Amino acid sequence: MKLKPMSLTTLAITGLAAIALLYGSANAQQRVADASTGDPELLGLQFNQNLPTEPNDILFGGLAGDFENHSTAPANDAEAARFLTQATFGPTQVELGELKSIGYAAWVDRQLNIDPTLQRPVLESQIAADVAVNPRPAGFYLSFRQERWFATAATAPDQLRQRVAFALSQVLVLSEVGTLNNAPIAVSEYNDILLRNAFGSYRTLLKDVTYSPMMGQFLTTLRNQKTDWTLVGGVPTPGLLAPDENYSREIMQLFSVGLIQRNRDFSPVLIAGVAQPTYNQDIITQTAKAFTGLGFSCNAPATFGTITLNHNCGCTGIACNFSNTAIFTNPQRYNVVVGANTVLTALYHPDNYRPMTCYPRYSDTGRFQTAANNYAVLPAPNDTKLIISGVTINPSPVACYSGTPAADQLACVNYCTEQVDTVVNTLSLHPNVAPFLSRQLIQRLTTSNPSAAYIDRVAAVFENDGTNTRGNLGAVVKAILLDTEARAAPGINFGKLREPLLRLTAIWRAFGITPNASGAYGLVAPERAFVQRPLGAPSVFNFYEPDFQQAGEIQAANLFSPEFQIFDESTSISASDELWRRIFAGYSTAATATTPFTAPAATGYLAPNIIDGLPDANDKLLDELDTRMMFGQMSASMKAKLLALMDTTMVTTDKRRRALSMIHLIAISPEFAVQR
Amino acid sequence: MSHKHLNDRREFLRKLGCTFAAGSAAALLPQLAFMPKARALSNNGNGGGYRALVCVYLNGANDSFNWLMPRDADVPGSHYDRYKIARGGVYGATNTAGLAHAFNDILPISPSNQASAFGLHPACTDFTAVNGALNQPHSGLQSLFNQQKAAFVCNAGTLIAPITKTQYNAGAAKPAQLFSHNDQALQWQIGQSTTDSQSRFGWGGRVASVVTPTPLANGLSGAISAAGSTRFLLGNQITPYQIASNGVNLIDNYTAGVNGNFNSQRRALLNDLLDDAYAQPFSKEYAAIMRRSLSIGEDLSGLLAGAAGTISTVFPAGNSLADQLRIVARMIKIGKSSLSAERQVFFVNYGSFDLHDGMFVTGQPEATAGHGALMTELNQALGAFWTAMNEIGTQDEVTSFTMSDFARTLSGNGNGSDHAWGGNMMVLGGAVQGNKLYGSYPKLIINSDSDADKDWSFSRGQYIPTTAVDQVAATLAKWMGVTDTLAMDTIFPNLNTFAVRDLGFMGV
Repeated sequence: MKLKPMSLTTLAITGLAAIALLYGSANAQQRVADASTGDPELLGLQFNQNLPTEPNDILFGGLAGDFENHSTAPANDAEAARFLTQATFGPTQVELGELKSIGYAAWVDRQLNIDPTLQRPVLESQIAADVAVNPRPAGFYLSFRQERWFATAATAPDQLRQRVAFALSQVLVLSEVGTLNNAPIAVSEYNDILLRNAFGSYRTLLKDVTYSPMMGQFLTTLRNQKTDWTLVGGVPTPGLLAPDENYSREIMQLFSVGLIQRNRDFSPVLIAGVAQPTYNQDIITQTAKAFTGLGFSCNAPATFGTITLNHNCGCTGIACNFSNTAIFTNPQRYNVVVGANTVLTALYHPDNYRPMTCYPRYSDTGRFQTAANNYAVLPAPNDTKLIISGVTINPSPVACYSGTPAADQLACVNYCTEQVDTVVNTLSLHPNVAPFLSRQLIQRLTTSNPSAAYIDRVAAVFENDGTNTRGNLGAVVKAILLDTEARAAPGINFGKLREPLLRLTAIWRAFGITPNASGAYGLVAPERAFVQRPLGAPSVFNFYEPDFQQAGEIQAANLFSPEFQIFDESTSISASDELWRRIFAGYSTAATATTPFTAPAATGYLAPNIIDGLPDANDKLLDELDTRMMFGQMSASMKAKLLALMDTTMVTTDKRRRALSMIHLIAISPEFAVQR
Repeated sequence: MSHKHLNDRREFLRKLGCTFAAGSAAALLPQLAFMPKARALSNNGNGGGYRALVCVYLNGANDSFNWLMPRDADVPGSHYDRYKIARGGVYGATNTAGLAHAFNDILPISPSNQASAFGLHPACTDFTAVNGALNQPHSGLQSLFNQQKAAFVCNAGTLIAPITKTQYNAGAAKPAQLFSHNDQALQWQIGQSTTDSQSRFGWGGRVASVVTPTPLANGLSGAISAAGSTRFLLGNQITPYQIASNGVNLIDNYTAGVNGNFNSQRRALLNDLLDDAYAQPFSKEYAAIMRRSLSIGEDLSGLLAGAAGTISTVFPAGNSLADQLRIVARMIKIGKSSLSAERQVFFVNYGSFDLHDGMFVTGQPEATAGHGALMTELNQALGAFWTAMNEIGTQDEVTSFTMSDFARTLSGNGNGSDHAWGGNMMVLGGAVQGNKLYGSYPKLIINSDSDADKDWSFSRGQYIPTTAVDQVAATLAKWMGVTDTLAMDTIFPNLNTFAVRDLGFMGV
């Protein structure tokens, strides 16, 4: 649908009214009323002079208008590069060619069907090989995981899956900062969970995350225990232990439904103008009871070359689930005495990352703790758990304790896992999940400020992918990337501040990043300059939050700008410096006229043959950099300034220096900073 | 502050708006540097001279009922005994789920306004800071409390209005998203419990916008963070400056005036790109931040490198909070001595206090492991900072205080505690009326419900706060110079719902 430019106030109200008509609900009417009280001057100020020449039909929902034109195939290199910036860790010439030849949808379909490039199996064998000959403390091996991550981001063929897994790692956040700082293999397995499920079922993803002992350690469900109810003088009395509420809260607040009820387009459900909470503290407390009794599973010894590691549970099979001690055992870590010291390496028995198992004796089964009253069902309301959506988990039909008869043991284990599954299933069916997840994935891939209609279209696919399947993440990703709002010429507020790591990987991939002679990229502490480290956020709230609004004009315009939370006076400079080191790695700037290259020993580098293969003429060179880095969207003003520097000042230097200098200037420019 | 002054300031801002009518005043704020008289119009109601607030944010919710606890007597029925019971007994080899400290491990203090004795976490001792070859003894928080330099505000938390347990259970208005980290942290930083989590400004920034509304001569904002972006410092027309712990990070390879490798020419071009007008709001903001960083940074860097920016106090090595407070101390020194600053608000952030697990560590000392490790770093960072304030002569002019998301459940979950509500916070400075507890320290009873004692808690010992964030913040704001009632109520709209507007810990 094409609109003539008009007063934005009118446009906004008309659009919202249209949504209201689509919904036909009192809530939507309420939203219109709210919008009409907004400051029209502010709206006008924000948008008037910047109306896109071809306004998107986003406000009116549906896939009308120019959908065909926008969504089949890129018209040129610039459109292709823009798409690949949204869908990968950065466009390459090869990927650009493929995309242009087969079109957007076919490219996505092809990506959906490439097997995942997993990181844990490779990392585990690398670490096993290293500790066998030169064992070092676990912290040393964190760099191995970073290397593996960057190598995969830079070169793996399943780029879309890798990029989506990175997005998911910022929603279902797990961090190796803290408890997991000696477990890079396990953390890489968490990344693999995200990779395996990136295009699969959201429910399976949430389940795998929940049973992961990495998450069990990060958000403390591992060995989380039930309240020990006993009879004291005939009165049911709780002990002082209570189930840890950490995971119960965050799985709801951050991993699935969020804090307030949402319409499918992410607008809050308002009753008399008031947002409605999705759950309360009591639901958190009761849900926490379902996440009790989980511990490392018990499996046979594992062999890595000459190294054998055990998990000494002292039991096998289902007997372990009823052991009093197995839940407290740790999978063996490979330790070796070197001189006077014991070196604790990062190599673990795989139970350290295999899904947790249930120990029903420690799980809340809605029953008493002691034999004194025959492990009877607790009096109401402590016998049941009322979780979100009004779902109730009833007490176990059989008593679960260390002496549970063999005939009842399986029922106990099943009860324990089924109550976890019930929480996961209930959450995955909650109506909030579709808009909550869709919006965040959109923010990670295409734009910080999707229109309500964009969210709604994607959330509709989350609810039903067309085959009556809910939570098909592959279909959701495809909907995000092929949506008319993502493919049309970007409106003025469309896009996102590039994530710091994506800034780097885009440059790496645009100019043929090559690892050093030992295969390393040499970026082992990216958080120092970029404040972003893969699976290394400061907390479960990620590096930045989806609702962050940078103070000033961005906030005044009510725009969200998550990535600005880590972009400030200090990090703007540290990022620039780090990008310089990466771009100029191996290239000497000692002389002015020539820029000799020596492959650096410590880091990866931009391949000289690719830099040398760029066009010679300054204007052609700049055009090529524009296409590779900025989808040909560099403003005439910026281009003129860069060209002037090369034409008038850098006339005495070689092309390498001109090219590398321009790449860095573009990399730190305000225009490149924003992914449109 | 009189209404006349308020009007003066509005008039001033109005004129400012005219000056920059064509564009965004925010983007051009550094230009205000060339209007030195502007600051004379600002309102420092509480006299002239230098004053600064330093917010020490304890991230992840500090278990502050294990920071300040009763230490009257280890006998049945005592306040300490209630503490011990509520926390599941004293932690030890035979009680690994217990969260209480042993009576004799708690460092005794005797607040002058309390009938019985209290104590501090075992980590709060005097200590010697070691940094490479340097070392220096400092006072710990126990000594500073005893010397009347520190006080605690007890059971403070987010509140919309005073609320009893009965009212709570009946559905009276309560802060949105209680027990949620990021939401409660936000409300502490906003200085009011609002259901609008998008509320724009923090109370530190709002205070700055009243007492130091315009930047200093070099463009430096009156609100400075050593911990990155924070809501606390955002205010109307206030754009916080963010500095790294190791000082200003100057851009490499773009040094103005350096000819090698086209440094100066590329720098000129970079400046040119950053000065361009950008329609896309993110590009525009990116340019503004980087431009501000370059221009202020180079000036500050020179000051920090000189004698004015150097302090000799030894801060402990390997302590991120100490690193932050050290740069704050240096910024205070140059702010006061070189930049003629009168009011500054600082923000530092420390920790991950979210100890659902690992409150104690088997076989390791309680003073230095688990929660003790965090308490040790906090104690040492604040102790060194206090010495530094002595070195630069600002002990009476700088007030530090802690804030945290909430306190934690008194009852444990195995070896940790979960999210609760009201907690204890510390105020430190020469202007503080120290050696006292303010507010009301709870009785520490699980499921307490006593309107007579104003002592209300839930099933896991989550205490309903009896003092509001708003009151604490307003007390500090008044000391900073927000003396006008109207201005105060603008910053803290809920303040009027509480009986006491000034808790008194900053004197009268």
